Amino acid sequence: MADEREGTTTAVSETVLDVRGLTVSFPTGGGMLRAVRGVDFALRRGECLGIVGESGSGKSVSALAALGLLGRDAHIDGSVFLDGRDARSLAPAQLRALRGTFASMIFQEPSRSFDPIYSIGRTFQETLRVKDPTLSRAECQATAVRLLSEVHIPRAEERLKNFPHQFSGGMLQRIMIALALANDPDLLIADEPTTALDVTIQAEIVGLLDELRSRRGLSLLFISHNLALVGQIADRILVMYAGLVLEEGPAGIVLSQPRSPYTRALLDALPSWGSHYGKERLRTISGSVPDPTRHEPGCPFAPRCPLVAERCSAAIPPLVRDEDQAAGAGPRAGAYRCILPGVKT
Amino acid sequence: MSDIIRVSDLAKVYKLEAGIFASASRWVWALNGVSIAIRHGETYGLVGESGSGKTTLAKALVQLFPHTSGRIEYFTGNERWEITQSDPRLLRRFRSDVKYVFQDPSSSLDPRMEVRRILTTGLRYAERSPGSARLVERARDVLVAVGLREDDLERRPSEFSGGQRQRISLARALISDPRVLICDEVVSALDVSIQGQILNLLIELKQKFSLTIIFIAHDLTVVSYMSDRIGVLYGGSLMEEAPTAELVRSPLHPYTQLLYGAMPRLDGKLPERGSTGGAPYNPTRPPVGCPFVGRCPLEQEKCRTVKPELREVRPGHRVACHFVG
Repeated sequence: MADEREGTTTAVSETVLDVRGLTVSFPTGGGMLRAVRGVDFALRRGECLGIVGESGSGKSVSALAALGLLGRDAHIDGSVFLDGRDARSLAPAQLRALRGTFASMIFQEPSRSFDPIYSIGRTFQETLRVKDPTLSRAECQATAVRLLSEVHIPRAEERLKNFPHQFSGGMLQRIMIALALANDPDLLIADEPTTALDVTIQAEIVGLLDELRSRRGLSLLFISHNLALVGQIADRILVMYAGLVLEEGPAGIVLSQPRSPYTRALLDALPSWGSHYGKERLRTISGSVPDPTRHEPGCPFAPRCPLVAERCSAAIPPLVRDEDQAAGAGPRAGAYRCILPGVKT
Repeated sequence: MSDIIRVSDLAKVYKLEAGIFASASRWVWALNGVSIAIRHGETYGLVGESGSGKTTLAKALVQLFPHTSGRIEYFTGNERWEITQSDPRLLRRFRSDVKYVFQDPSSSLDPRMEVRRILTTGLRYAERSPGSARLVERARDVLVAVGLREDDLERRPSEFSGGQRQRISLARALISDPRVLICDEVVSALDVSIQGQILNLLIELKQKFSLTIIFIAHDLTVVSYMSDRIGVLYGGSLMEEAPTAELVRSPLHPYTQLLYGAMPRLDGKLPERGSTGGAPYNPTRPPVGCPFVGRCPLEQEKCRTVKPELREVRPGHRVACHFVG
């Protein structure tokens, strides 16, 4: 699969989204909540980057900050390049225009993303007219039917008259995706798009996203807590914990030969397919995620790490990239954040 | 192994009252005649998509609502109890023995109560309450058994993390010294790192308190890991039942195959799809034949007219399909 894509990306290999040194904090009653503490990632055209992490790891906040969708109380630092343009230097109206033509986002619970008193047709009309207020009803309908067929909604023309409650969760998520395609985006951010859905429907939605990516050359940022699911669609995976990237690399390698003790521990904590409690116990991670308003020095995973050493709590370990170590590893190889010698490859 | 709970031909039909948006009342067939025998000391897993009837079955078991038809039997000592709403005293004793643990600990624990009250309130009204001094002692014991500390008794739910709250829910269920625990999606709201802790705890508690567990979850890997036998529900009917190892190795029903094929695995292949396109089971208009009609790749005329019976195709492996086995 990777080989096929290699051939097509040589022509347009530009970076769609480039995030560098991103930090996000929120003021709270208990002090500054540091949600993201210096995150770098890049997404190339036609590529799917998966961000995995537990709740509070900063994966959603990173994506929202990248698109400039966080509220005014958020303190954001670092740089974000959308389609090669410095998004953080743009005026709000310019950023909105750039987002409107370049990026789209879908969310976890499709039923909550729709207005229950609008028919699907009316929702499309409203969305399409944001970009072009002169569109007639017939034009809106024609575009909506085309988009709904693209996400495989049968009898699209009839179903435009229906209301959100007349659709199942899986169907609504398809419609959500169709709406996200209305601005013909280059970048689609999917934040836990299948978490509220059954496995069979989840497989359909992930299959659809993968299909759209290859057909439209869409770049996909796929955020999920489910490692196995991300492994199925992503080319590369970013593992986040407590607002930091602890590991990054090609999906297959991160999931089969993880280098960060955190990734290793997460994979070990999941029962493997066909395993049974009668034969083996799960190797669990003790403790819980650190409090983001308390600023402890050192590796955030140290208090829970099975390999922890004394110097782990001295300073946050640097993210070691493969190109820093060996020439010829190439910028597309992985990175990990751990200072323990036994962990290095 | 002897049975501890036996459910025969259990059905539950809800009435949707007519209202502003509906001109006539409709009936919802949530459970259409399910027969399951839970064996003493086993973990029985229930899987199925949303709307399959997993939770309805579990809740009807403890009579959170009356069932429409069918029979629930409970075996204790040499006695056989038939569980209905008509004998409240028996029902109270049954409910001390069979405990329900809910999915979301933050909404099933009263935020204004300290842990001591959360744990003891239920037992205070039970048929055989041990008296208040003994009660606090028991509360302390179960709290330690689920991995919390004695001084946590005086704290409130908001002071605990999600995983710790689920431990409190478990302690509340265990305080009446139950024989059966019904775990309904108990790890679904938890992060991966916490999920493992709770699963290991359940296994430990099961051995320590000689529990029988009914384990419901949508994550098939987790259910397979935890269960000795698994029942697959679809459209309020039991489609397949087998020992876990056998079901994992060779699922026979087309629905089970679809469900297991769709599950993301760490080997990174995109799951199979395609045959899922049809209309799902509609509980307000259940089909005469097989509930899986419309989505099934093996569908034939007979499936639309005759509902397949559960048949034993191998020892302990039952399947409800005309064309399997």
